[in-house]
Amino acid sequence: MRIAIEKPQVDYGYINARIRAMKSGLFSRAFFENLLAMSDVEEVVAALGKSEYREDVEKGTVKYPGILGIEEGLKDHLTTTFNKVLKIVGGNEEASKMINLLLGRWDLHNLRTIIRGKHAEASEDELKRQLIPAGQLDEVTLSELIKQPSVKASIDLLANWRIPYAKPLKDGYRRYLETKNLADLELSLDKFYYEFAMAETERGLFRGASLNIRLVHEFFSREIDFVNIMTAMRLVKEHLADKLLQNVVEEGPRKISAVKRFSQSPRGKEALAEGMREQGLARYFIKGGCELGIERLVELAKLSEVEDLVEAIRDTSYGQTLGEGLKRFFETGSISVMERLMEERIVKKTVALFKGDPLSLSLLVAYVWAKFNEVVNLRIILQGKAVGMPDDRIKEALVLV
Amino acid sequence: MAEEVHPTRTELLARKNQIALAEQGRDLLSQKRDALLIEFMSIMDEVLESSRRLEEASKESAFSLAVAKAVDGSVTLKSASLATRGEVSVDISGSYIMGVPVPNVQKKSVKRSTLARGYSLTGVSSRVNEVAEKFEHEIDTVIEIAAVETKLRRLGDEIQKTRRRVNALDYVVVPALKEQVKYIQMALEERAREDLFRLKKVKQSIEAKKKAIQAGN
Repeated sequence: MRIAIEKPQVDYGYINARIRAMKSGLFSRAFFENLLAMSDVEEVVAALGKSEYREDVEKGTVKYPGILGIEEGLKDHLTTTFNKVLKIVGGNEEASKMINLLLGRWDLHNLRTIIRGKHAEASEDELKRQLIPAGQLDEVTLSELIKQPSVKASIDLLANWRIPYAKPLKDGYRRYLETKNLADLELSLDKFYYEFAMAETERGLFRGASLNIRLVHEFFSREIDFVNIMTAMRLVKEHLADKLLQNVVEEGPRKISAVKRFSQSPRGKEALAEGMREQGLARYFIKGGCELGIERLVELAKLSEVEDLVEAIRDTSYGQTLGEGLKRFFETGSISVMERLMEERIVKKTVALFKGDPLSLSLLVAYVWAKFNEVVNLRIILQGKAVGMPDDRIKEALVLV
Repeated sequence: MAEEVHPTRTELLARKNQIALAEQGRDLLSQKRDALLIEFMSIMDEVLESSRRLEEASKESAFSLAVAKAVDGSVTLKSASLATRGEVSVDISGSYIMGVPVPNVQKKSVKRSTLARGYSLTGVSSRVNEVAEKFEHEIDTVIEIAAVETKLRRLGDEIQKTRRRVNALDYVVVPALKEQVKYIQMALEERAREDLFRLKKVKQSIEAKKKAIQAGN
């Protein structure tokens, strides 16, 4: 996990040749349309049996019955593919570091799951089934973490191994002990992941790193914007900003009294309370967004309706996408429609990198996202067919590139 | 007539008193049954409305679960569920409707804000969050309907029991007592006729003896 970017490396010829070969195995739009037209899950599984998914799906269905087994197969296939990608880029330091940063989201998922499992006292087997070892933390590391008896022990083990994720977990642990709510612990972990990725790529940029690092930096900053917008939207939808502000205002006088200089004048008191209010909301946002800074996000989170929020960010590049989702939001009252549109935007923009510089990291980044999207699409079709979802609803959820 | 009946006037009076008591009991029980029925019908509307709401809630939650399972995967959902494990606390007390004990359920809403669900805002998608939201609503509706349905079931059982009692009085006890009264009355009348006949015979024989004595003189 320690990333030190020394100098830009430019030799992507071999890597991209391998990735191009792997890209040819990706399913086309027509293939997905064929799957969609199939009448049941069995037909879809039969079609997958003729593809590179065959072995993993077969293994999965031996482990678990029905759709659960197929999903297990898809998960294993994704893990195998990403591990293969990591092996391919192994010789190229820059590519390896950048891909590790991108795949770190699965480390995040695994750590969250282990911490949640320890909190809920879930069994080791139950936890193992929920892991996706596609990041830097391999199966052995994750197994050791699972074996720990408590949340604290898991965090301590991470610290002993000098895995950077231990720091945010240690920071959030004290608050977890007070509240027994994992939300703060997870928030520190999520923020750390993105802020670490941004810091690493920024360090590379500072040292005059290649366009490849710039590309990953841009990718992360866009993703941070996406996460922040969705956070603001949830705060607005549930009118949580008011509650959070109320908490801070109630806590305010207690904390303010500690700062004597401020507490002496009403204006000082007010200024401090305002500062705390802002901080109360600001802590839910991740630094480093491309178009939306924390101050603006705090202002957005204070709005009373989702449509006001969408209107307020019309001037950004996300305005159009969110505007398109607004009609469906009014129909369903669900912000997940807009989230899916934003995800679609990210997938399409990232997969478009296939057309980027053939001797850069862009092909690799595009492949990782295209593969992930392929697995998500297959899961949508399988689950949709299994529960008898209408084809048009399944199609709506798919992101076909 | 299984019961042994002594055809006496005392027995007749006792039976007539029993009939009056049984008819009074039947009238009271039918009044109770009618009152329970009125209560039952008013709760019935509530149960039907709650069932409709539950059906709607479960349809919505099942749909959002299917969507989240499809897009985010079972693994992500299961992982989030580990963070949100909680308890459902319900206070149950009792009250009486026409003497029927019924439960009163007082519950705290299971519904929580996103911040109280145990996972971070950034840690799960809004699809997963919506699944939690919709299932919490479904649990609330299930608890609500469970209380009303138990009340309805208890009232239904009591109505059936009361109806059986009314029918037993109406079709078995009262007719049987009336039959016994009829039998006693018939037996008493028969006995009276026999007495009259015997008296007439005695009179005839006395008169015949008188005539024979007069003819001998």
